[in-house]
Amino acid sequence: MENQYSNTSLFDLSITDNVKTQLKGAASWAGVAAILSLASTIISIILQFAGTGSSPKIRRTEGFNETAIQAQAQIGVLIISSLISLGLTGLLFYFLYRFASLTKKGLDNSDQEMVSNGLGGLSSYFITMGILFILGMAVGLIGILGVVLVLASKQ
Amino acid sequence: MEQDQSSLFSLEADSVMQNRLKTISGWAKFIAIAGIVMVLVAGFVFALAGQAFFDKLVELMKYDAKLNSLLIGVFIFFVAFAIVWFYLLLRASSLIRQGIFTRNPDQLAEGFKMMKLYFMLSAIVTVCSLVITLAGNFI
Repeated sequence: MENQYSNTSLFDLSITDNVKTQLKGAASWAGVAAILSLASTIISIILQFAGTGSSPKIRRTEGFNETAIQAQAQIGVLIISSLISLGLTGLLFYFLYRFASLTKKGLDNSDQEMVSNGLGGLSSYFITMGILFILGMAVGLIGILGVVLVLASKQ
Repeated sequence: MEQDQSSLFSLEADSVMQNRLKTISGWAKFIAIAGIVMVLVAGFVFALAGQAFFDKLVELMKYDAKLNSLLIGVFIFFVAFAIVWFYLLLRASSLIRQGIFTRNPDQLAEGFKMMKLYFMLSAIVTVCSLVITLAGNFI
């Protein structure tokens, strides 16, 4: 009995009512943020495509072939960037929504495994965000280095 | 008494859950610090090239130069907002970590409270960016 008590106090952490309330609040807001983020990305992509359709850059006035190639390239870039953006947002939405729904359900039913799986979703969300941050910083650094090199070569 | 304890502490964070919380705390800390550094670097670069940047902007966008002070105000607001946003994440990560190591549920609860505020601000940021996108397209 004493051993069991020491095991509990050493390795387990009590999830008190206060922890439950705050964790549930975090999960609820994470769910709201996830839905808004996905909706925002979808609306932005729709607006971009709508904008490209009426863009003066695609108008075929003169130099027909050149303009057509430019327009095709522009649409190609837009489709690829939209797919990447949608894929990443979808992945982040999945992890965050998983955290929100599983954690709330788990806390309501006092199901430890479900809460743990929900936290696994949040963990995956932050890992993905961290990797995206590293990639973003690397791209930014390469961009700055590129600008510095171009400026240095001009002098 | 035992029953009371059981109803209060019916859920325990086992080693798997604690490991997940540690992972969350670690990556959240990295994102928060990287975010604060990036915002500060952007603010520093902007402060250095601010006047030249706005002169170029006036030339390109052909707007009244008097609007520059408004744009500077908006920029400062966004920098401050971003720092508060990342600070909340940093605070959440350190409180969750401390809560796990000291086995203190109150610190853990405070950490989740900070995370709730972080997600609340995330939702506000998303709504603002959506409004700006819509305004840019329809105005």
